[in-house]
Amino acid sequence: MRIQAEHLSYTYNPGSPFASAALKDVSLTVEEGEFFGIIGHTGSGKSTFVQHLNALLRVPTSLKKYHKKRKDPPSDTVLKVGEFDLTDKKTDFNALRSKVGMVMQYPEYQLFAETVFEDVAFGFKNFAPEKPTKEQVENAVRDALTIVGLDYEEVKEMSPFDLSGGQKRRVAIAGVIVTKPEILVLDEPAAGLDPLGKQEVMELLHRLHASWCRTIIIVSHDMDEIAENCTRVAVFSDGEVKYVLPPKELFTHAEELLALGLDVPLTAKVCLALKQYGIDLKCDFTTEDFLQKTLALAGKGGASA
Amino acid sequence: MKAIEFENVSFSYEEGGAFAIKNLNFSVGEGEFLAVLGHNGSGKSTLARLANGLLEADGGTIRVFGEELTEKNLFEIRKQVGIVFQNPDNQTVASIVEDDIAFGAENIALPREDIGERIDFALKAVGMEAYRNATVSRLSGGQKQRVAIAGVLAVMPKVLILDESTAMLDPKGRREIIDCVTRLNREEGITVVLITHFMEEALRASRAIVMNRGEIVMQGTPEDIFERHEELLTYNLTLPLIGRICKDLRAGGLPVADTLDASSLAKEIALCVSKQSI
Repeated sequence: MRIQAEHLSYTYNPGSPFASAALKDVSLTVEEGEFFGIIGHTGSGKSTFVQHLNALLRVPTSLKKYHKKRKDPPSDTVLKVGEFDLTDKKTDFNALRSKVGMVMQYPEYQLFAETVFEDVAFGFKNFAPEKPTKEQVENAVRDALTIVGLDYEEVKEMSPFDLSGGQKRRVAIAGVIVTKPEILVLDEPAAGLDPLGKQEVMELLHRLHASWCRTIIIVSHDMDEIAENCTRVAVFSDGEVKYVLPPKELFTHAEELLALGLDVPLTAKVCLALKQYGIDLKCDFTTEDFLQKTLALAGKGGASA
Repeated sequence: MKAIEFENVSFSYEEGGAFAIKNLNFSVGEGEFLAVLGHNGSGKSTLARLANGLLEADGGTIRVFGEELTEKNLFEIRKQVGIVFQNPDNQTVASIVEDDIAFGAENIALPREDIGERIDFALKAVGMEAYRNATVSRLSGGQKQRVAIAGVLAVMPKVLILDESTAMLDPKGRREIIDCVTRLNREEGITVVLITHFMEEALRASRAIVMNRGEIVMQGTPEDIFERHEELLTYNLTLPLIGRICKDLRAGGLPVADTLDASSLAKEIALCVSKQSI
């Protein structure tokens, strides 16, 4: 499913003294099959944007009336996720939400059931068009727990609160992907985990990308993570999209990104500093490429890296 | 003088269950900046909670500034050892910044005038003077966390423990907190114990310890510890990315020295490359 947004704007508390424009005329397309990254500092509008993708936030449905009230020119907002037209209030939003999974920040805080099995099964039962058989539920839960790297037999009867931090997060992710969404959106999927936990979550996302979820979108503050994993990156700032580029092109704009108050990957910082010494490394900002190019520079071939 | 001293301390969350802290001996010197590293479940947070009596040890002795921690002096000792936790939203008790900061000081029944002075001091120490009357819920994560630190400082502890206090913040918020505690350590002489997953943050400390299964398995300066790269991996920890890059460049035949920031690494690389090409 392709995501297409054109001229999307969103204002919190419109028409009140607390009105704040979170999105201003945003146009962004995410193709099917991408591993897409979204970056931007706190309050840049990135969460507001991703919450539109499964209609947690709605494009004001009766657009005409809305804009008339605000005395705006007629809207040309487009928001489509695959076949779903999100500007149309007749759209089956329930079906949309089972196709677009949303993993919130710190999803383990949303675990609630007495057993891991019940927690993961909840979403599946909720979205099933008709009451699923016991066997269907079991199969779905087993598949979801297995793909996130947990042993189904071992954890199914356990309380999710007795698991480690990394395991809890994986159970929470299993609870979202149990409906086999085609698009999976994750807000800071690796935040707060120890280094090994981070690595495991990123490996899990690549495993999902290769099997269940055609498109993955991550919101992240960790630029090294973005540089290593994403096909393209959108940079949000002040409710607008400043850049949409593959990481290797994006981080050549290191100076502009730093000026926006954003971080850049360590490799980009080193490349930027190297320019003072007249060295232009031309790497794609993944650690591996950086090492190879640096070693090649010194006539070390870099093949061994 | 030792700020905190643990002697053969053990603790388990369930009676007869596995030890979260096992026969632990360690100490933090007054004025020291100590980083505590370790993967999830290694016992770091348990250690923090034992140090100010939120948890009671099953065995062994804990001393704070030479005085043994007992049920009787618990509240006295808590005034000396303040903890800031992970989630800023869980640590807010009042809706206005100054009320929130005053909470701890009010709780230990300080006179009204003193509380005012302490709020002034705490706000200044974390650089939030301009937000005295702001609504806490409207602050950014880094700002909220600085208010949480100020609330602890208003009690004037001699030791500040940060239990993954930067984990939920964005890079800017993280820098704010680390800069703030570094300053408190250097200028106010407050002893800092920084528990973190971010290896980069540990580089600010004067000493670091690594925990695994409730025991201390490595200690030394952060540089020493990151030097012992292979050993770190066995405790499920990684080097800071910059350390990994230096190691890999050396392995590839480029003799760069270990550096801690991007611009010195660039300098190293430029230096090595110019030598090589001659």
